[in-house]
Amino acid sequence: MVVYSFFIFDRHCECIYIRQWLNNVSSATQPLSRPVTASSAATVATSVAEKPSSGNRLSMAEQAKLVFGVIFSLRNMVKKLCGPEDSFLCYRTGHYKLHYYETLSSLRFVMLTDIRTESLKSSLHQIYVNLYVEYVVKNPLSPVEHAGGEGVNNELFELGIDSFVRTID
Amino acid sequence: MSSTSRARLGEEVWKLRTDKINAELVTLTYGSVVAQLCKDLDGDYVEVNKQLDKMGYNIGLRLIEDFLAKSNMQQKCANFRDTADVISKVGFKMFLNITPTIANWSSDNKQFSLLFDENPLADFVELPDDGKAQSELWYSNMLCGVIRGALEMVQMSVDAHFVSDVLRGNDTTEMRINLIRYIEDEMPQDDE
Amino acid sequence: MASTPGIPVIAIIGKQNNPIYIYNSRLPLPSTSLTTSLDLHLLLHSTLDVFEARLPQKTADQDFGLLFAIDERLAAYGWMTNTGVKFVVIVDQGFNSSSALSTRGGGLGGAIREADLKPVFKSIHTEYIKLISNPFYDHESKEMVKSKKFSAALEKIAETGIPGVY
Repeated sequence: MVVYSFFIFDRHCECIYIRQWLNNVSSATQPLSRPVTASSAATVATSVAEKPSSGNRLSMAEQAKLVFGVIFSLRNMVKKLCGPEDSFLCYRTGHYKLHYYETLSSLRFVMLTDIRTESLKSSLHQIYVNLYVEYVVKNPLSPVEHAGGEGVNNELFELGIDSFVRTID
Repeated sequence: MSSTSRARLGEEVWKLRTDKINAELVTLTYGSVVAQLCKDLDGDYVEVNKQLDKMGYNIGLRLIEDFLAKSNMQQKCANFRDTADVISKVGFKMFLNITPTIANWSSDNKQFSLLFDENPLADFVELPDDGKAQSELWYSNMLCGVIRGALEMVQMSVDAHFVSDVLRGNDTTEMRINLIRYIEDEMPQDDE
Repeated sequence: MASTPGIPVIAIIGKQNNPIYIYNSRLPLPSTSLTTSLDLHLLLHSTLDVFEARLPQKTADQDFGLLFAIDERLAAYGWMTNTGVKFVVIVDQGFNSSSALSTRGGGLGGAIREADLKPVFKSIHTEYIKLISNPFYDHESKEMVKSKKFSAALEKIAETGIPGVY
């Protein structure tokens, strides 16, 4: 199983964390190399990365916007079709699979993986419980609102995500 | 989720998933904060209440995440009565090991009271005898802010305030919580 | 049989020998030498000398035992915490106690053994800890304590007397 990228969106619909592990699908056979981390969407706007499923060159910030657009619409559609009891978990295309988890506090966790991956709902929940709450929320020095990703990008969280993704593999 | 299973959930989280800390340490820490505020603000108790509420609000914004993570609640409360039940049986149980009684519902189900039989923050406390504190200071006002902040993060805008306190010589300690409105999902900004 | 020995006076004295709180149930006490509150203050003041004199011999033990007998009925007992706060309890032994108390070291001869007072001092100590745990308690204040809670608690201790004697 291969994890391509990981996003967190806050309740203001802003992307507060981006992490990418592989630059494109063709390198999927290589071991995880050169992780690219975005501390804020603005600072990486210049760095160029490729969306796994497409040949178009998109900046990570733009990619995040696209991802959010998709999950936001899908989530609302699922809610409308099946009522508030049901929730949007994942979707799959020919090239990748998108996993979605939303907390009651309107934090949204999104992970893009290859298509063979099983449901990551509980994994995303674990990331929230064991990494986000422990290292970001409980860090008294980090702000409550993470405008531009400030505060999420701390070393422990980073390392945690890294080793967590390795255990999913 | 029924009321009794919530009580069980609160009990379980308290027993298994909560790190414990010495009660006197908490009481004395909170006490020092309040006493120092009273000193710094020169006995302006109305302002002290405000500051406590503000501190609580900032705690609440974070505490809700810890609450959701530990209690593992995945479903939104169906109505405000459920919310009240969760606050008392899971929230207060988990963080302070108390279960305040829910009472005095308004007819539109938007206001209720929490009655505190015990209040770990206020052990040992006797309000200063300066003629003002007894009528102006809400000693545990931080709790109001915590509830306001926490509920805001789960899309409920509420107003919380104390209406009576045993420290003031009242028979009960009562906090009134009033639902102002449910907050809608925020829409992404249009950037085109 | 006499009733439980009463405790007419409990005094708390601070580290700097400043009076923190003095409880007295009924002045004048049934004694010739203690009639006014000034007498009481003088008497408590003199207990400080006994504390001072015995201090070198005391280490971890907080019980100072019988400080001195005031007359046939009244005797003063003392206790000092590790932080230098002193508790003085004046015990009224009633009419039929032996008069052995009037001689120095009479604690053994009296009906009350020093150990009997331990629970009393313990509960005073507990109440004192509660008092100073109040966040609004001013540790630097040179004034006497006015806490109603504390007064009520000490009154209760005094009324309970010394259980288990007789």
